[in-house]
Amino acid sequence: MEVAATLERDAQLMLRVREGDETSFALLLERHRGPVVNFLYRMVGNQSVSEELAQEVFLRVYKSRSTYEASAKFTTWLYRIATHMALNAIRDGKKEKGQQSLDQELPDGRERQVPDTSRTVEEKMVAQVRVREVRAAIDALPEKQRAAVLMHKYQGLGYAQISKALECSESATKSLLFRAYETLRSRLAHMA
Amino acid sequence: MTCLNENNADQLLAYFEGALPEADRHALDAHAARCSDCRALLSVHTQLDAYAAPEISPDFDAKLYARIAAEESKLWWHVSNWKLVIPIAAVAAMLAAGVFVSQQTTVDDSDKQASIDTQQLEQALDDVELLMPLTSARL
Repeated sequence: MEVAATLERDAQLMLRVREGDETSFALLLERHRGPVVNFLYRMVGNQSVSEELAQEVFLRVYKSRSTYEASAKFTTWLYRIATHMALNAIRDGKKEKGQQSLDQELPDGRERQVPDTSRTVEEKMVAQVRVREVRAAIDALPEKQRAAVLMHKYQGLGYAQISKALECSESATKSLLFRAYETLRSRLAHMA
Repeated sequence: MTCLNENNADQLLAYFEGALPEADRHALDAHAARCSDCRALLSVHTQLDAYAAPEISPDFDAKLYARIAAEESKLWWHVSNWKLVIPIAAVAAMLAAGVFVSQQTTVDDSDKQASIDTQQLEQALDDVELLMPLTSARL
């Protein structure tokens, strides 16, 4: 119910953007900026590339405002654009060129945010290793499986929405997700 | 209960989404307690929590709005150029049409002249032919 209301609100905001309401675009940006950048970051593994791609996604959303129809769920449409952007960037080699190490600092000197609830140095190191292993396991997934699992796990999209975003059938999406989780289980088995 | 596999992927996905009915959830948990592969598969979702994304750059919105402004001005230039191009194209088309009509008139005139010349030449040849018997008779 809550999800349906949220989606409906997004579509309403987008319809207002279509009528020239800039504030509604700012609200949509506020709501989806973080999730879209995070999704793209996990897809391409590079902070600056993911932000550049996310800007391109929102630019496309803005440019499409005059033709927007609320026929599809806004987030489905948004992630379809984002997935296309990410897959194209990966194929163009942006990911390989710009892949960042977890130890590397961000360009503006800020430290990468990694959940850190540990107290001792040893626990912190274990947490860092865990992040690195999870990231490597996700990065090693085939592109479509990676996109599907990222949308399912981190963006909270259901397989019906993911199938529309990836433009494949629901049954194919279920298989894609199962194989992705199964591969991750096998790669992360030593950490369980 | 059978192990989780591609054919009953619905159960795994519903479990992760918290959408599995309570009885099915208990059954799956009971199975996982005895099956290490299914137990590991169910714990994958939680393992992935470790991978957090970095903070977004503070100038993200500023950069985006700058790109939007650049696109809008490109579009404005495009539209305003069209506003200029249309009357210019109309005038050019009218001029071209004028030149074409005038050339056609010239062509028509020269065609007429050529036709007159041919007629005159044919007439002259006919006259020569008519005069030929007279000339030979005198000789």
